[in-house]
Amino acid sequence: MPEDKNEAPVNDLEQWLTRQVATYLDRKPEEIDQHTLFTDHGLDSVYALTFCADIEDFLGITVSDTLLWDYATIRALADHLTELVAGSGRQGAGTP
Amino acid sequence: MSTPNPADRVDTLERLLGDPEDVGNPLGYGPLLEADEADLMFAAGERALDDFGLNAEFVPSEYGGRLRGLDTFIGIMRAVYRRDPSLGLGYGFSSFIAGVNVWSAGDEDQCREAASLLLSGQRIAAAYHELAHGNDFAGTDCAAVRDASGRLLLSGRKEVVCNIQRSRALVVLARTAEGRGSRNHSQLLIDKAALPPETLVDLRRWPSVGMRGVQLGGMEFRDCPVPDSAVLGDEGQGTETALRSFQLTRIALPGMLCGVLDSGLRLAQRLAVERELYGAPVSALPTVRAQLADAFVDLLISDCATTVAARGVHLLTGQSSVHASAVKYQVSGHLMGAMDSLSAVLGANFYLREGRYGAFQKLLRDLKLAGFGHAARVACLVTMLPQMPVLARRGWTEGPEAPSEVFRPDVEVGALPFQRLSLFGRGRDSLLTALATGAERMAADGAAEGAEAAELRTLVGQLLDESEALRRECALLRPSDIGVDAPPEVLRLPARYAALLSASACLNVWLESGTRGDPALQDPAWLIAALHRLARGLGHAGVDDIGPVRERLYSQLAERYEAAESFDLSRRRLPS
Amino acid sequence: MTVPHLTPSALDEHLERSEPFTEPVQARLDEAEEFPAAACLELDRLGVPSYYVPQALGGWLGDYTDLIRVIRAVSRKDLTVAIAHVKTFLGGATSWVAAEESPAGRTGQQARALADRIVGGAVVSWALTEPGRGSDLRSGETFAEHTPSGYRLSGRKWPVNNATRSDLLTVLARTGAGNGARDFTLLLVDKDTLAGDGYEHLPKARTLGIRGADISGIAFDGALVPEGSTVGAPGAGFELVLKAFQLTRTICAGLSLGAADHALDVTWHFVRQRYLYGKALRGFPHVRAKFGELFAARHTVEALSMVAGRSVHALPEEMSVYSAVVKALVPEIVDDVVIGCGELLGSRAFLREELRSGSFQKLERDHRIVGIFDGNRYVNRQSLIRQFPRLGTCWRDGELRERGLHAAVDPNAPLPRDGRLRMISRTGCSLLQALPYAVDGLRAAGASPAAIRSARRVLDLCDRMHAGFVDDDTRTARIGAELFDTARSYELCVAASAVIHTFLTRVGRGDTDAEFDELCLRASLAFVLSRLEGRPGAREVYGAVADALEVHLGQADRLPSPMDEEELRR
Repeated sequence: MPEDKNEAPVNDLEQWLTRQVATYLDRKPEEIDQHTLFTDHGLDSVYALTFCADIEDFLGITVSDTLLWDYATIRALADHLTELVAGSGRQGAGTP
Repeated sequence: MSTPNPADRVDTLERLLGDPEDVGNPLGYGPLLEADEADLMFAAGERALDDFGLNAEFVPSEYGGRLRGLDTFIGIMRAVYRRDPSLGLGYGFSSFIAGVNVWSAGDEDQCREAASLLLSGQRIAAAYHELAHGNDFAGTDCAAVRDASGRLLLSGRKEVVCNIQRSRALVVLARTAEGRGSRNHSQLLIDKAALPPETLVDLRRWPSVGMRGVQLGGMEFRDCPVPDSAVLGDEGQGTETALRSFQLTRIALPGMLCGVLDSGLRLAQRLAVERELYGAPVSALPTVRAQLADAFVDLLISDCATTVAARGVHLLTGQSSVHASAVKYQVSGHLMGAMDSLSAVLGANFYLREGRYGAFQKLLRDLKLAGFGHAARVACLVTMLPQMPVLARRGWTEGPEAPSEVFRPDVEVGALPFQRLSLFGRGRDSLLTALATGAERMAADGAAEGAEAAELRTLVGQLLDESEALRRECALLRPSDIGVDAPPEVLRLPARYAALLSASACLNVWLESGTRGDPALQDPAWLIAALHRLARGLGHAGVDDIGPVRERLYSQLAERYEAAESFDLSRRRLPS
Repeated sequence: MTVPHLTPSALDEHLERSEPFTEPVQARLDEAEEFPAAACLELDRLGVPSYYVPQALGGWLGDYTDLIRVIRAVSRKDLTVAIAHVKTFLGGATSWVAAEESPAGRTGQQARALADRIVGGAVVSWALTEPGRGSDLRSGETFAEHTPSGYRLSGRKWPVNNATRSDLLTVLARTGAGNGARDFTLLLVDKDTLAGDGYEHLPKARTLGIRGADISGIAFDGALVPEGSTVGAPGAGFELVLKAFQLTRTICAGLSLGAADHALDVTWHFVRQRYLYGKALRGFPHVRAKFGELFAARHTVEALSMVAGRSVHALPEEMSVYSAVVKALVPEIVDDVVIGCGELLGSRAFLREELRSGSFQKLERDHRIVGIFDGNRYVNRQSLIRQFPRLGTCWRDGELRERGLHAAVDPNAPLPRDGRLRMISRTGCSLLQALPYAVDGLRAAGASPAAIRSARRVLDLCDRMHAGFVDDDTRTARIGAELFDTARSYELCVAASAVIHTFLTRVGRGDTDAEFDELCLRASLAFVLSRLEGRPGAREVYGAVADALEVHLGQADRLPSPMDEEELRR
């Protein structure tokens, strides 16, 4: 857990991802670092898989099952998803 | 020579047995598991019990032994079963079962003979069982018939009997007249050494999946001449004597077996704090804490039920016949269910016969005896059923009120009233009526506060509703309904009764706990959890959210574990 | 060597007559903790290993329900043998998954070679777990260092079924520095290539049951595993394992069904000839009701297993649900069935040399491992709980993979071959999502009002259960205890749906005993409801089941089973 204050989330998507992880860990979003590996946050591997389903619902796109394995921090994941969404021609992040 | 008080004797025994987890302890889990592997009695354990003089606990004080209160007897035996149930059963519980028949039906000479034998360290086997008949003793084939000169000759077989080969004496249930009636059997106290050897033939040993070290053997009697002085009580009194004795043993055995769950829970908690899963101790997982807490509650329910029923033998004259079967039925269910649930906490470790938690699977296998041993659960229901209508019409609505001492384990009861054991409760059942009187007292005393009081009121309300429903249904039973071939819905009635009895025991033990000043017992968390469990088992809703109470119980359990205290009501300090 | 294609029922017949599979022989081996080598050789001789290899790779494995049948046939004779033998399927499963995703190239060739070895009788073990690590595979420390000459493997795998007697092992090892899923790789280790170097076997563990099985381990110390030994690509280990679990956890149902068969068989035959209290035990209403209930329990998990087996091909995308449901529920229910049988057997369940050579106490101990290994109840329920949010939305939206569902529930429908396993289902559980329609179809199918009432109650409970799935509770690290109860309820609902769908299919064909089918439906639903509601259900139906079984059995030796019948019908 880094001592210095975490960066504020870069965009809405990153904010949403951060909130999801915070809920899982039962902590406040401000305490969640966007550069920490998901495995270091303590996300169990099955949760990582089901998180994908939530992301799909949230963004309205289809993603690979192994998404969190391949983009293993909140920042990396947010960047990748932003690209995917742009590529799919849809609007940015938003609750369906 | 003065007898140390029972609590001290338990402590002495525990100290003698030492810490089971200590690898250097010759009476620890390691050595006893080796004996189990080899199907042998645990020799070092037996020697320790010889030193302790455990047999004296089976002999009434009037004959030179230490047997007085049934509850204190249970407490002492529980210490042995906490360590090794096979040792408890194989060393001597069988002698206790046999002995009880002698103390209740035997004459002075027979009692002195049996006492002398036991006090000199020998054994008496209770030779009832025949494979063809199981719990159905009325079907006994082994027969004692008089020959032309009037000698009593015993012929037939007894099978799967604990210690029959190495016992000096036997109490044999033998048929003395044809037919299934209740006056067709006698009990015979026979000294093997005094009989012609060719008339007594040892049969094979029957190896078992649990209690492996216990020697389950058999004997064939071939026109074995038995002196008249061997008959306990009158000829034809055998079944009656057995039914009286069962009242004691059907309470005592489940009471001792609580020790098995105590040790099982200790092993499970040990694993939960020592092992990690996903980076945190297993004990951090809510579902594990819930399972451990529930097993803890099962143990407390079982202890309350057996303790109260045991004290009831002394203090509620003549009511024990139905209590005993109720307790055997209910407690065996709790103990086996809890151990099965704990096996899930242990996971793969449960399946190993070696290693740090290797003793658990032995405890589980040994406990299987609780299901059918000495009286199958269904047999208990069948025993209770005929008394239900009379109790419903009278016993559950009328006095006498149970004296408060019944629910106070700290008060010593007197000697066992063998002569006052009655086959039928005569329509009196102070233990079930104590549920209602306990409820009234709870409301009046304001013993609990706030949310807890509300939860208790809810639970007691559900249980009283159940009690009333049960009374109505049992009152409608006809004689044709209550035989051994009763339909399942009818057999549910005594099962429900047994649960309600346990609830009454828990409630009233708690109500009396204030007088003992035991803060741990006074905290109503365990009572709420116990009544919730019993109410749910009866199909009621229980409380809305048992989660917080369960959490508190888990904390208490964890504290007891750290302090090496037993998980039963006594909260006894154990060697560690 | 060509061996004639062996159907599960033909296997069953062979085993009935096979000496190594008799109860006295198995009892002696169990007492002595001796490996059942003769029985395993017999299975090899009969060609059973070909069932562990997919048809695409030259084996006989097509419909997974057939593999379940094969395992059941062996298990009903002896569970120790079944567990010892079927381990080879577990050892090969990750290679089959990898080959399905990459049929060409090195992966396909490796799988083909492994397939040939298995058909030829090689024993393959699956080395995942490590001492003190339990089911947390990502905490494993066994490491494979990639060097120019191959992989240097170091670490201990224990307890592992067949670690010692295996010819090959599929080993999960770390190849990356972190503890992410991509840091793990599977290596197919052929002991021949190691030539005794760099490894040693760890001693046999003494177990409560399956005493004769080879539960041991292997310690690697710089063993050099050739280049090209990875199963799939480096870093694919975890993904392949999770997908393979969807297959292995499903076929474990065969072990439980066989155990239930054996237990019910011993109990039925004992009860029929037992007299107590001057009467025949078989006439006591509570005995009939108890036995009927046990049969209903088996019927329930049998239907679930049949549909789950077919779903491997019919609904592969949803196997994350079916495999978890089967693995959590079926062994648990069968453990209870065995306990229930034990109550009817009394002391004979406790003695090691009475009644049928003490085979009951052996099967009871043997079966206890099934709920523990290859993913215990906790792990599978946790997986289901994590899927609750998606399962909730799919239920609410009424999604269905209709073609797949139809193939899953109708044993006569052609099996699709074009689906792919996914680590997490995106379409929820079509079998359960179709429950409302199935319940509607019951009246037309001639189900009794009682059955329809029971089905509607299940549906109602199911609906209310799903409403709670969208809460955040399921998204936290520390899953509350109540959710595990909910997971069990979920499994029971899926089982109920399998029972109803199977009934509809059978009625639709019109060539089965409709009355008996309807009775089994009613009894199964009563059983499921009793578990869902936590109270004993109405008992009359169970007594009726026992009555019907008396009629059905008559001269026949074995209790009827829809799964057996389906196979004979083909």
